[in-house]
Amino acid sequence: MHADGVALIVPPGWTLITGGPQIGIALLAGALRPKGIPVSMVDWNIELAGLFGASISEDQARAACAHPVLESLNQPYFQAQQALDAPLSGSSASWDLQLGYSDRQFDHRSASAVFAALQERSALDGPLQTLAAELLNEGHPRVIGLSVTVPGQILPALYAARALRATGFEGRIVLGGNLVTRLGQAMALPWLFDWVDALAIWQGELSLPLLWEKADRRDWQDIPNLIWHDGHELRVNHSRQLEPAEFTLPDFQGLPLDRYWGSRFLTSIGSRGCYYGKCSFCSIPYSWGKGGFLGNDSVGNILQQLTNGVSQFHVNRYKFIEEALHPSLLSAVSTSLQQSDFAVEFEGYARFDRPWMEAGNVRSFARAGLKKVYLGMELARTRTRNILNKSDTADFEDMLSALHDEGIKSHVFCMFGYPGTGVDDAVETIDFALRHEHLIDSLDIFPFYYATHTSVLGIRAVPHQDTEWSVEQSYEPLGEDVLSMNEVAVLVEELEGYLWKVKPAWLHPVYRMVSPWAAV
Amino acid sequence: MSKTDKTISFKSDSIADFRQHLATRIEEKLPQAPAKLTAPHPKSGKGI
Repeated sequence: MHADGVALIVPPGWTLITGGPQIGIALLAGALRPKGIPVSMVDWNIELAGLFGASISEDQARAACAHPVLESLNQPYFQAQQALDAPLSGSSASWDLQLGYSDRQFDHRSASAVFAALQERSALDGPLQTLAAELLNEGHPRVIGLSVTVPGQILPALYAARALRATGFEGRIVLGGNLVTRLGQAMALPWLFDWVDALAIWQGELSLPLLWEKADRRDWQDIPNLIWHDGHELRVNHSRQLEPAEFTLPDFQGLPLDRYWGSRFLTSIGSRGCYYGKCSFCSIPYSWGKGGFLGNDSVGNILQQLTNGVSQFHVNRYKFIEEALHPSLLSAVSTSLQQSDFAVEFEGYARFDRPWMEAGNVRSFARAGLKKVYLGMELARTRTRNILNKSDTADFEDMLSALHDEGIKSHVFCMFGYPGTGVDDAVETIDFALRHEHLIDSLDIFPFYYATHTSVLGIRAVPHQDTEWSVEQSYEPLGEDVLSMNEVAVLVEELEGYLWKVKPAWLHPVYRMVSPWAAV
Repeated sequence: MSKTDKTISFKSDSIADFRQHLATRIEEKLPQAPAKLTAPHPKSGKGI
């Protein structure tokens, strides 16, 4: 670490069941370093888990998948979970491998509970201060950014800020990331600025360089996308989002790439957001701004990401993180990859859109190295599915078959309980999946939740004063044809429980650590 | 007391009723599953 630069931290609580790094801080590094700003990156999620003795190696995951039954898949999973549990035993906190950090005494959805948590010692304080001291020993940065992507990182991120202060850091601390953007001003309570200097919403590529440059707070008012406190009042600066010409490449230099779990890969990005962006239940692309889609990157930049990974880190597996692979962009990238002399493997999210089924596309994607796609089916094509507003018109069976025939595996996302859909839609969906089990590699069932920044007919949000830091709103049905939140929970619990009995590998996280990249 | 509607074919006034209705539908429509799991399973949900 060069002194006086920017340090970017992934706080504990992001999923540990992943073979590659979170791309957000790598994108920031890719924007800052070309401007001459020194950057160090640390992943305190993977490092703290390592300090606690938790990990799952690729060999362990592969061995568990040799005969993927519940007992074999559980073995490395619960061994790692127990390693995380031990240091927190006796406290009210827990750290789940997938769901992150939570504390039954201090609900991270409640601002007042988080405030109360910061008045107490936490089980993470000692190890976080050790990590903070290591970071600062390598050179005092001018700015430290903490990337908060999921709710399970809220408490650890603020404990990390506290540990940095306790270790003597006097520079700027900024919170950013998907969750911070989605919460926005709801998070900007006066007391929060006792611990951090600013919230960086939307893309930090635009705000962090200026924050590094402008030491005097009086100059902060022109920094885009910054929420901060000037000592007297809250300031919410103007918003601006990246233009495609400003897209930079992720830079992973400095991240502990050999320490991620299971089969290793690098994260990559072709589009910023979701090219469709109209599913009425979904707020995942919201934090990109501009309706959830900033545009596609160039084919050249995408190929450069892949070649960088191979040449710099000898990694040839990639996970594209955009909400949906853009078929025409993927087609162009695939053509270029087949004309190049290096081999890569990759996976990504996709929609059941007709361009996938155009002549030669799936074969071309497979030859370029596509190994697995994660498809938002939500429901089988039941009578009521159209109210999800997905407008995806490819035939499920045809597309799953086409992918299977070319050796591309499919993961299917299901979502049950959307207002106006019910028991029969959900059961019919599981029936469809089981009738096509030879075409499906893995599957998730999610309950419908009323995401902030979405508008869904048939329900009414019920504000709850203790969950103002949640991106999931409580709601009540407005009609007889809408399931209650409790009914949705039961629907998912029972059908997922059924699948755990008949197809455990579909649901098991250890299976997914291997399956895209191996014949399991 | 349960009631029916056109969209979801069933709506209950109690969770117990709802659970029972769902169990019936699973039994009617899906292949039979083993009565019990052979081992515990990871918690549901993804962190990302």
